[in-house]
Amino acid sequence: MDKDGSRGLTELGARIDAAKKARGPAPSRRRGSLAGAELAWRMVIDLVAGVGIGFGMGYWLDTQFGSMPLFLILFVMLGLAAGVRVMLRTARGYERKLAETAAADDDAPERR
Amino acid sequence: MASEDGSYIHPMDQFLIKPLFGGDTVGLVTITNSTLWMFITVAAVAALTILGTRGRALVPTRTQSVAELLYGFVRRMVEDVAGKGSMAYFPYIFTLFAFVLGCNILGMIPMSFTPTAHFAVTVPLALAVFISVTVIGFVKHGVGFLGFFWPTDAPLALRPVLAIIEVISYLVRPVSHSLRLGANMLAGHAVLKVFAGLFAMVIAAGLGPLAVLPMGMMIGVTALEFLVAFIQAYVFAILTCVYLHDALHMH
Repeated sequence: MDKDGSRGLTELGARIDAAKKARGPAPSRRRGSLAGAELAWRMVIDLVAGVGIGFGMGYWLDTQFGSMPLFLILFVMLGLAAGVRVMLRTARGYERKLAETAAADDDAPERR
Repeated sequence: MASEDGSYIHPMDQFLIKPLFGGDTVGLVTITNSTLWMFITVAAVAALTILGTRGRALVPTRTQSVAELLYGFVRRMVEDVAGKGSMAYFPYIFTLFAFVLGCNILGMIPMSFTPTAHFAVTVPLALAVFISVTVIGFVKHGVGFLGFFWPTDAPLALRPVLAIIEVISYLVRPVSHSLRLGANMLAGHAVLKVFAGLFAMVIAAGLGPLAVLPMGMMIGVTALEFLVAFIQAYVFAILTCVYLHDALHMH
């Protein structure tokens, strides 16, 4: 009785999942473009923040050592590199996510 | 509603901090409109999650299912992004997400105030995440957490330079984390006010039917703002998860 009950529940769960999938809204394509805009916006802010922090650190070091343009120039460039690094990491994460969703889409028909 | 200088467009007036109980100065402990709306957010989230689920019904009521939806959404995000061993920090991330989402959405009510449009609010939120994540990293890995900044796959001569770059890119996190949320809310609400001012200007100039144009823009921007309000809360929480993941697993 107990065993039958749990199997019945599992079956019911599978049926509910199938029905949800069949009747649910199709995955929208529009969200993709918006997510892309969000990603671009994120990258721009990361880049600007990197240069800004590099500028701040360089300026502070220069006021400490009285070597005005030296560290400023150095750290702005390092900050730019840091910004690019964050940007590239974001891009790599996005690429991985795209590959994963693509793989999931490919798997889906075989799983049935 | 033209003001004394005759202009209709005052996009930044809505962000003014005003003391609610008299006085002109904002001290360390002054109840302002920002405080009020943050309190309303906390009260709304508490009402949703505590009162909403008080019945603990097997078949949830409407309020309970909204609370469960919120809980499940954040839980799945923490599981997927922050990875193993991150569940201990779920309450913190849930609180952050609920607070930011609440502030953003309640800020969409006309005449209300959006605390998250102020960097004075978003910077402490981001700094709290930054400091706690760094502390977690050092507690979990000890001094070994410094290895996070020491690239091992580069030639030895380049490593110190790359380490500086890594440290700067680590410091970029709280800046971009707070800047993104604050700037998005600020810009969207200001744009909304600009179009509202244009509407009033067109009417005042006696070009009645043309007012349809700014009106349509206002409707569009309002819809977009609801989307942005949610997406920015989501991005804030998911980036917290990403940072937490780095602290827990070091890549």
